[in-house]
Amino acid sequence: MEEPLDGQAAARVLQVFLDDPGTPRYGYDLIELTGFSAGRLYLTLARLHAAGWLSKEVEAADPACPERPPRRRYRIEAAALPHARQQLAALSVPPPQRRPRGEQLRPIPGSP
Amino acid sequence: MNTVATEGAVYTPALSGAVLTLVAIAVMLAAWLVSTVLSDLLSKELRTRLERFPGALLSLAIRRLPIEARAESAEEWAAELSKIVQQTEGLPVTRLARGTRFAIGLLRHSRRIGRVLAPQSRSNSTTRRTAIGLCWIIGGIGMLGPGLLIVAGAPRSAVIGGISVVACVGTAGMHIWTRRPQDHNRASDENHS
Repeated sequence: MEEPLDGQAAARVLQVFLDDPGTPRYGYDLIELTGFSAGRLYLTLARLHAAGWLSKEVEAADPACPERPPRRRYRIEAAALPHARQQLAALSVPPPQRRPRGEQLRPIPGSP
Repeated sequence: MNTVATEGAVYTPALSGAVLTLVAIAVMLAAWLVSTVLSDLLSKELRTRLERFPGALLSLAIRRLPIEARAESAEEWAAELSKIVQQTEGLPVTRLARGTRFAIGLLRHSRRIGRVLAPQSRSNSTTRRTAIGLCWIIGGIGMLGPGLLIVAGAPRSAVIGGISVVACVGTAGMHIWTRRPQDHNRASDENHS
């Protein structure tokens, strides 16, 4: 992975997925849920996807709106659930001192 | 009553005043019609351009991505923009605001997104960008240099010759370094065939 994960942004996006792990999320829905700009959200999604936290699938074409390109939806990987909960819990604990710069969520072990 | 006779036709001042009034009314009516049609056309033109504005920004954002990541991202982002358009049906101002906000956000972060989506992309390499920058500087010197040196009193022919070489090197370098990978591949294919 080239760029490190932004811990706060990644944690916020993962939190949305952890609220209902079985529900796939679309980009624009995540923008509304997190309050991030589109750029920040897609940057975070790309990093989480590259690190193996999220999977991406193409939605089946909507027969009601055939001219619209199929949307992409993201799911949290089953293998990532315990890691995500663990790391979010660690991030939510207030540190005794100033948190070191560049504290990041790490990719799942064994992910590409 | 004053009358003016000219070759069989008789005009009175009152009649010519009425004709002038009719002409003035016709002109005003025509002007009103033209202005109405024009303002309607302009309004439609403006509306269409504004509706296309977020899409144009999105295209710019996609162009800033590495080539190998463009198709997938273009489809994904266009689908989300379509969803925004669908959700704001009948609310043109909201649609414009949300669509523009969505596209500007992507435009701001597209380079960084590209680095994540295609980390090995040539178009993102620092070396390449540095080389392009250097070529621009050399090319710039080649274009501005002659005037400055001639003003400084250097021999004209030597200056022009030297600067021409620098300009050629600069522009050739720019051409080589700014060539996209698919152009390079196409050139190789043509050579093989």
